[in-house]
Amino acid sequence: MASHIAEVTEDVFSQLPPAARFTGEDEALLLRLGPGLASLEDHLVQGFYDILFAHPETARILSSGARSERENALRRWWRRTLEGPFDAHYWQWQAAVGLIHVRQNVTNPMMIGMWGWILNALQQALLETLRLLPHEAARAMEALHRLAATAQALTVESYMRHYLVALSQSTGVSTDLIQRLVAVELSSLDPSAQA
Amino acid sequence: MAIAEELNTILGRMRTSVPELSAALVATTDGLPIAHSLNSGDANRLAAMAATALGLGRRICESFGGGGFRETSVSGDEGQMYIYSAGPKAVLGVVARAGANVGLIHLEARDAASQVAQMLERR
Repeated sequence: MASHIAEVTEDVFSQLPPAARFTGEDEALLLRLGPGLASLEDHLVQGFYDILFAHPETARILSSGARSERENALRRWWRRTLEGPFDAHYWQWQAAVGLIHVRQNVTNPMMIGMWGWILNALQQALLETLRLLPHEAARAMEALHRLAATAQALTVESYMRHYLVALSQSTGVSTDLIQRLVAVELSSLDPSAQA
Repeated sequence: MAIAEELNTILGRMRTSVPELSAALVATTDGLPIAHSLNSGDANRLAAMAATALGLGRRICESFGGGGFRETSVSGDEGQMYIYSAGPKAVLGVVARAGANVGLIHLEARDAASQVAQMLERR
């Protein structure tokens, strides 16, 4: 199982249906909206970390560093996202986030939940702050949802692969064998009995 | 002779030599059972676990400088399982009741593991 960031990124893109993946048209649209979206930076960053610091589970993880450092990381991502390009380097960065999250104990529910918050905040801001027409806002949200899906797929897959590869390397059990153990163990599990 | 048939012959000879054995199996290092003589239990699960013990044993040997992994065992109140490296591609597992003659089991099972390794090497 490949765990190098470039390989993970390629694998994820091959698995994502093209219709669900961030497109060149999406990129052009985001770059065009970039100046307006850039003005939302403070609002997004402030809201994002207010939520994380207000929730005990996420605040515990964030407590090791200064808030300003955390905020700067999000600012860098937002600016890079609005400036483009959405090239291999950008997507590999999103995959690398998975590895960072394993190290920092950031869980996938935390990551996916905050992606949802970002999308909701942007939807509201597109209409109320940037005053886009409804159909323009809808088209922008389509692009942002595909961006979110692509980035989340990369981060989650990278998270899982690095977890498995670390387990494999530390125990000497190959990832093929781990997958076999999982298949054997789950073959007799009745999902309806787990609900 | 097919691989499984040849392996079953090796397992059969070993079980004849050690009647106390209640089961034996050969699996790939990825946990796929190739041959077994289990009267009960899940061969798929046991093969995957034997391969897991092999992988962990190899890593432990590397970590303390013990050289190449040879064997490990798991003992319970009512029985025990011995797991042997059978070359780079396979693992041999044998199950016996508690109180079985461990010396005899090792003698025969080590020889069987060596035969399995040689047989798979030729393939």
